[in-house]
Amino acid sequence: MTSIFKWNLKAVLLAIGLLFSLEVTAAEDDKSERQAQFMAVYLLHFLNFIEWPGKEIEDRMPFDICVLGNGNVNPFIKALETEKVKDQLIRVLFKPSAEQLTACKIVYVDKESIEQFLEVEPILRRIKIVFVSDKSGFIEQGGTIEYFVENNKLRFAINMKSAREKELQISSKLLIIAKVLR
Amino acid sequence: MRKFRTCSFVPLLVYSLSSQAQSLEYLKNLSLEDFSNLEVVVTSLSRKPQKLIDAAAVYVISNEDIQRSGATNIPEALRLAPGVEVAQINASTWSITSRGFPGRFAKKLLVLMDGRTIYTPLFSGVYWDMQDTLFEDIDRIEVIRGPATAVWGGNAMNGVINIITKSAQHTQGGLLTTTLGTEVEGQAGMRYGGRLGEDFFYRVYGKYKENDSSVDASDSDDSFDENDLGQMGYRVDWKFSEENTFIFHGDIYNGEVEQRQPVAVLTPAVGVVNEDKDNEVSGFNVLGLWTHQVSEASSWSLQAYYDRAKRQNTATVDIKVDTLDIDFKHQFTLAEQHHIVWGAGYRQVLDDLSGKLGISFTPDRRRTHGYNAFFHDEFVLYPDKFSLIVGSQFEHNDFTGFEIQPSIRAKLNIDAHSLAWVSVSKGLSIPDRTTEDVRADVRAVPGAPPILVAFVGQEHMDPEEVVAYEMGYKTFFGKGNLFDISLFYNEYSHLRTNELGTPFIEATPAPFHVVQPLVGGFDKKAESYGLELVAEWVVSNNLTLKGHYSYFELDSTPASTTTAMTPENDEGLSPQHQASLRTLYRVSDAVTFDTWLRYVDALPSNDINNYVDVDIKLAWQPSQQIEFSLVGQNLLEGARLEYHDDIISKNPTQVERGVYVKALLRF
Repeated sequence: MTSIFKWNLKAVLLAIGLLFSLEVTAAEDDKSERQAQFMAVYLLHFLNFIEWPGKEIEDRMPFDICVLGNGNVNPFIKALETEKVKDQLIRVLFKPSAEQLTACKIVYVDKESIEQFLEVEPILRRIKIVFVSDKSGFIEQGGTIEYFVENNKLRFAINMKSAREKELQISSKLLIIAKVLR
Repeated sequence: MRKFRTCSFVPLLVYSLSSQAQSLEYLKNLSLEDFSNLEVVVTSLSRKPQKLIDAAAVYVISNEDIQRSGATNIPEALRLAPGVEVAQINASTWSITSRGFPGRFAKKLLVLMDGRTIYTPLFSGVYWDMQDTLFEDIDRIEVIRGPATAVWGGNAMNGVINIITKSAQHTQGGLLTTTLGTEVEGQAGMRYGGRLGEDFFYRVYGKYKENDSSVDASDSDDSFDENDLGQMGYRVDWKFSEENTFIFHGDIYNGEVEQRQPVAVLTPAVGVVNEDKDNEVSGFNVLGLWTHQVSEASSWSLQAYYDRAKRQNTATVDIKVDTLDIDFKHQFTLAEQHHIVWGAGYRQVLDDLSGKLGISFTPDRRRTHGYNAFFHDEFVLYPDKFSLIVGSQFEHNDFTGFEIQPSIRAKLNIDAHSLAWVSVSKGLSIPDRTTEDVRADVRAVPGAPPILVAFVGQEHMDPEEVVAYEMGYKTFFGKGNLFDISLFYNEYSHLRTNELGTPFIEATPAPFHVVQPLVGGFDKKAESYGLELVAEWVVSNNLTLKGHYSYFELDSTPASTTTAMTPENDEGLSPQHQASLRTLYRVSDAVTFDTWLRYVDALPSNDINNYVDVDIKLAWQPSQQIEFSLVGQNLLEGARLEYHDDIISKNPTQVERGVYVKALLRF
């Protein structure tokens, strides 16, 4: 190996090393940010692949996604408002009132706000709302869909008993990738 | 013996570059199937579960990379990786290597598909025309440049290509694709994935493809190299219990490949003639993998596979190879500081090589056995900061006996997103049936008497050897940007040359003639060095640029006593500079427009000019279920010579410009 080549390489490497040691700032918790993105995007698929009963009455209403809590998923859920699902607009409601809550298709429950959920759950049990959270044990506490990470993939479990009670029709497309709890 | 390591047990890579930098916009537009398949963590270098080699020159070609590149076969997809030399020889053959020593019979690269090696023991290289799968079901292709022999054993001397398909769980539902074009004349694929029970997933698939011939460089007529291949297969992923998972898969294929093979003949006239034959290629394989989780820090796996590959109706040698391979592997953590993986395996290869015109193997049927064991210890000196990785492969093969291939690596995690590494490793390329048992006539020279020049194999030859010194640095920053540089310096010894042996007289086949044998010399040395750069930049939510560049130089030093005719030929067989730049542009929610510009330097030993070319893909996805695309490949040149190998054909053939349309339907 010629020494000129060696030195050039060394210089290039050093320069690059310097450049990037400046460039790389501690990227804050990309993992949970990306996971938050994923959790938001799944809500779209849930709207798409779940049929709520009594749809015909509400045809002109936007699909409401309600959010309980203040997690880092919120901005991503907010960004879903530009989307249309089944030709209907999406509306995102943070801190919904009790009345608004009952009209929601999906309620996303932040991990930290599980207490709030536990308060309303007995009242809303029979109402056709899909409760979604990444809080572990959420399904056992009455939730409908619970996110979990397995093999570095974001997956979700569906509580079929609760879905049946709410008369939700869940597409096989969702069931096939879900962990189904009967 | 060449080793497999399956990736479902010990993911080779810590981080997958696949699908990094996905904006919310992008994620929203993915089909449910594709979306559910994405990895949550993509840019962290410290991710567990354990990885075997991250402190190495590794590049991952993701499914998305393949889809958006417009590649229609595995060799084309390999052009996406930096430092890999891919040159198409004709419509069905390629020269593929990394860091030098290319050729149709390139043998310093190990290629695996889902844990199964796909080389032929005939010459330890790959028949690329027999290797395929449904592209939509490929999860990723991991490419390691540099010796990975400590883990994978002999013939991973200059690198490893690991093609990994998605689990059945992530290929649920139906898929139909159809492609029509000028070079890729037709491709049709189908897959159906379903589920039986909570944790039992399966898929079945079928694929058929037909490729147009290339053109003869001398007269611009069609060459004789059209080919087709039909293939079917299945995969089952079954989580039997929390601790035990099983994977089963298998494929069966059958196709026809036109082959124009030069053959040295003494009658009717002395010389070399092209022999045209329709090769029938076929084969099947079955594989089972059982993984058992002992505890959080310990698991083992047992894999077995059987593979049969056949090439019949050839001009020179009909091939049938049966391979049986069993491997055990155990990984655990010791005293929180040592991440240890060790394993042992056995492989038996039974081949039947019936020589025809000009080629014979003695014996024509041979059963070879190989045993191996390896260990790999990542010794964490400072948690999440610095570790030393020592490992070695110990193997016994029927050609050279007992061999050791050690490596040592040091890895410095500068922060959660940046890593620097250095390594020294030794790799071997073990002789094979062609080096040991062949007699192949390659030239017939008129005269009285005429002379036949022939390769003649010998027993008890040394393996080719490399000691590689490497270093690298990679970093992820911002929203999915990547910068990666690798430098290497390799010292080769015992490289093979074709030396002039002692001539002898032969009466059959008539007429009476002299044979000038070319016998293996193993005293050539060489040095190679170079660098590979990767830069990926997410410019905006809609635009990503991905580029790579490689520089390569080889100095050969044949033994002073060499009688080989062109002993330094390999210096000019690899491109010195290679570069690739892709732009991935999302025009709107439903439309993507991607370009791929490539530069490959000249190959002086081969009389091949440098070239620049471009591929373009326009795709329209009106819904998540349907996609249409229009792809142009090699658009800048009408036809081009990429590699010429006169063992393949007297007349070099040119790769042509191609255009195709593709439709994809999910249901």
